[in-house]
Amino acid sequence: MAIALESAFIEQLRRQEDVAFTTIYERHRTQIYNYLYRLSGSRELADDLTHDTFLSAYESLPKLRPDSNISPWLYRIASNRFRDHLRRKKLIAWLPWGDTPREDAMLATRGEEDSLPEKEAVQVALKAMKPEYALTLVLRLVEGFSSEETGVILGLSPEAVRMRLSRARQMFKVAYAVGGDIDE
Amino acid sequence: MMSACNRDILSAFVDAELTLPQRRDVERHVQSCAPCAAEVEDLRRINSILAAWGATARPFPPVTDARVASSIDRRRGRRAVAALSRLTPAAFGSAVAALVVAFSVNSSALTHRSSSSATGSSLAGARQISDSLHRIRSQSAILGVQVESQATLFSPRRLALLDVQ
Repeated sequence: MAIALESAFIEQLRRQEDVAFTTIYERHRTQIYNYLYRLSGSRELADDLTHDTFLSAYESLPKLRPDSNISPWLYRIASNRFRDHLRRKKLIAWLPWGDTPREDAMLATRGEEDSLPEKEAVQVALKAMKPEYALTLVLRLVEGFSSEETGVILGLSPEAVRMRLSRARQMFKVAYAVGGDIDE
Repeated sequence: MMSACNRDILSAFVDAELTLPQRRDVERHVQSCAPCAAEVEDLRRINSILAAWGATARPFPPVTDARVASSIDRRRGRRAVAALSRLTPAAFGSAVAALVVAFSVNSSALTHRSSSSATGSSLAGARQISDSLHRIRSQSAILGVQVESQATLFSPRRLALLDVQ
C-alpha cells in the first residue's frame, strides 16, 4: 500500500503537478537551504542556490525515475548547483559562520565566545579542503546520509564514499588543527 | 585479524560500517596499539565537532518561496508560448480566434473550474466547452481559419498551457 502510494506520488511529480511539487518543496526546503548555507557560509548564496536547486528539480521532474528517493535526489541537485557555483567563481566561497566578520564579532560579545570561534574554525577548515572531500564530509557526518545515499548524491559507489570519507577526515583534522592553512 | 594500522579501516570502525568479526578485530587491535587508539579518539572527536557545527539550523527565508514560485510560473509561461509557436500559422490563427471567441461568447464554460468540485460539475463544464467549440468552428469558418480538432487544440494539456482551463 505504501509502495503504491509512493509510486502514485512519483507519477504526480513526473507530471509536474503543483500539489505534489509543493509537497516536496515544503518538506525539504529548510534542509536544502541549511545544507547550502553550511557549504557556502553565506545566506545570500544559500538563498540563490536553493532557488536554483528547486527550479532545476521542477524542470527535471518528468525525468524522475519511478524508484527515486526524493531527499537524495534533491541533495544531488543542490550539490551540483554548488559545484556549478564553484566553477563559476573559480574559488570556494567558504565564509566564516555568519555573513560577515563584523557580525561574528558582534555576536561573540553577547556570550558566545566559546561556540562561535569553534564554528568559524570548522568553516575555515572546510574551506581549505578540496570541495569533493568537504561535500562527502558534510553529507555523511552533518546531513546524516548513509554511505549508500551519499554515493547516490555524489555519483560514487558506497565503497568509494568510505574511502573518500576516511581521507576527508584526515584533511579536516590537519586543516582544523592549523586553522585552514594547508596545501591541497 | 587486523594486519597493520589502517586508517580506512579505523574510519569504517568509527562509522560502524564493519562486520561484527571485523569490528572485534579492530577492538582487539586498538587495545594494544596506542597510535590507533589515539586515531580512533581523533576520528570520534571530528564526528562530534561536525555534528555540533551542523546542529544549528537557520529558518528558511520566506522571500525564497516567492522567488521559486515566480521562476516556476515564468517557466510555465515560456512553455506556453513555445507550444503556441510550434503551431502552424493557420493553427496559430485558429487558436487566437478560438481564445477570443471562447472568452467573449461563453465565459461561463471557461470558469467552470472554480465551481467544479464534483465530477458532475466537471462534466457539465466539459459539455459547455464542447458547445463553445461548435460556435468557435462557426466563427472560425467566417474568419477563414482552420480549427484543429478538439482533441489536439483543446487537449487538457494545451488548455493548461494556455491557462484557460
